Amino acid sequence: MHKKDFNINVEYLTRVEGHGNIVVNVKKGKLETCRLDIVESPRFFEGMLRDRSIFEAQHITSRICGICACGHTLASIQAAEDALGFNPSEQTLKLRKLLLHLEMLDSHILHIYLLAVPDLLGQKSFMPLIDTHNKVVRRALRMKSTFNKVCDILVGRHVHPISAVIGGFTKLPGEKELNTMLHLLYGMQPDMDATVQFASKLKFPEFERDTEYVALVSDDAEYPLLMGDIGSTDGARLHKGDYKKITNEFIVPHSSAKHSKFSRESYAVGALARVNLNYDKLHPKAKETAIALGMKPKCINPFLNTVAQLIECVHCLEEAIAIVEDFRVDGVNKEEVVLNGINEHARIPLKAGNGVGAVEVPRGILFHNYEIDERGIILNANCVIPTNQNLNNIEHDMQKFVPEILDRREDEIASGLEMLVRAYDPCISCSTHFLNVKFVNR
Amino acid sequence: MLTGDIAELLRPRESGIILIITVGTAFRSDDGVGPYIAEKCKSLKRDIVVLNAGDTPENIIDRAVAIKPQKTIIIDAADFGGHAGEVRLIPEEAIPDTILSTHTFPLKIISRILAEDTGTDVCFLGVQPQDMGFGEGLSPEVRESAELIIGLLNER
Repeated sequence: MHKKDFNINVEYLTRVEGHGNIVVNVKKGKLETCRLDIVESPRFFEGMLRDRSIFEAQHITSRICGICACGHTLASIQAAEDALGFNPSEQTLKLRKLLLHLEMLDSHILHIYLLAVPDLLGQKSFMPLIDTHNKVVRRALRMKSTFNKVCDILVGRHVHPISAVIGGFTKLPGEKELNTMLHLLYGMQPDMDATVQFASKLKFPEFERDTEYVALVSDDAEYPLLMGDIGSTDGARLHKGDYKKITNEFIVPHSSAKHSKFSRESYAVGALARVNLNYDKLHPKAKETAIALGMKPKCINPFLNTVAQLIECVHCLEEAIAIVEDFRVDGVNKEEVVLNGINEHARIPLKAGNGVGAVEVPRGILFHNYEIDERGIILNANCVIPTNQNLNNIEHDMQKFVPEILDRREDEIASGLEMLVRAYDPCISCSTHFLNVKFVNR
Repeated sequence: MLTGDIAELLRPRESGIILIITVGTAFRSDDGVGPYIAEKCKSLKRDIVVLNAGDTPENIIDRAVAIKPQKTIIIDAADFGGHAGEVRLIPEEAIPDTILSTHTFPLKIISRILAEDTGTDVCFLGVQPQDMGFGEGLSPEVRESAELIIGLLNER
């Protein structure tokens, strides 16, 4: 036992989206306080949705996040279609899966290279890597830029997409767009292989805490990202309509974002949860990557969420290529195009209803829930963000991690905690609905 | 008002292309000053090229390298504590290494790669915003400065 006293107070944790503080207080070698304070102001998106048309919801809620804008769009559309009792076509579902693969690639590559790699290379930011790892920086830039471009082709723009709406897409890709997408995606395969090679040389912290992992599950052979039930590594399986039985949101005094818990004191969502629950459904090349990087389920080292993200990148790239190849062979039925985005001609019959969208977005399972009246006006809305679901689990990780690293210097403990939080790739802006480390006392 | 230094910076040279890269989003009020300038540059002087990078500067790097500019000026809204609409040359060392938004690549990375690949001189021109909140349209002070910059880039 290390009988020391110290306080850590990390204010404005960098390389995460939003504002949060880490507060740690150790007295006579005993951990007294270990918190993740969320200090970002609430954003009240649910309130903004009230009295708006359900056909506007996806454009409003995509503004919750500039990184997961496509994910919010898809969860919103799914909730709206569920409320309206509308079943999208197979072509629409396939294009939405493609959009989700592109979203995963864009977000995961950004987190892996710009937010996580500096920690693993002992740098304060991504910037010094331009001198020490010039090829890595250029590869990251090339990959991020390419996935942006493919997304732009599919939905108009990656941040706050335009053409994905209730009922389908207002613009469908033609042969030229499909060929361009394929050219760009195939062009990324060597960079993805190089990223896996690069990651295989990185050393991740050794830390384990057994927890419950929650993600979409399904009975078919597909790695579930867009559709499925809610499953847990503790054996639970619920219909998406019962999402509140999983999330059990509660308020803590030090956070403007709600916390969640299910079967245990906390649970985790995200890439690691998905890989733990659906490993067998990964693309064969992604499974090869998992083996090469030494990951097998059930992995309980939260730092390896970054590795799980890379495994998913390999999966999503291969699946995206397969979907576009299918469309190139079978063609896109242009008659399915939704000519307008706000249902002017009542193409989708209106009715009162309550619908839930449950979609796996980069940081984990995202829920949107809307109640609408017979005119399609939103009466109530609820959005449960992945980072909200992870905050409680991050705190429990911190509380186990700090006593294990008490023999280190304070700055090393602080940077270790920052790295732990970053491994979850939190989006605090979305959740406030985060990061400084405060060591209290001395 | 623009200083003589800034007017001189935007004057085409005897040889070589001046590349103007505008950054920002038109949905965050005065953060839209860069895209506003790009949109209004319809009759550019010879040897001036404008690329609007919007909120994804990483997307224009290939096109920027292909232009092989002699000088590159990155125009963005920048809160340097000046008065609204004030235009200042921001030294590269004053541009933070950290990512201000986790959505995009740091501008410094973009400028370093552009300089490495083309030998171009890169400088940052900041326009002091009055309001960066959600909303469309520029404040009168920022619009006035934008028009002065546009006047220097367009043929009369």
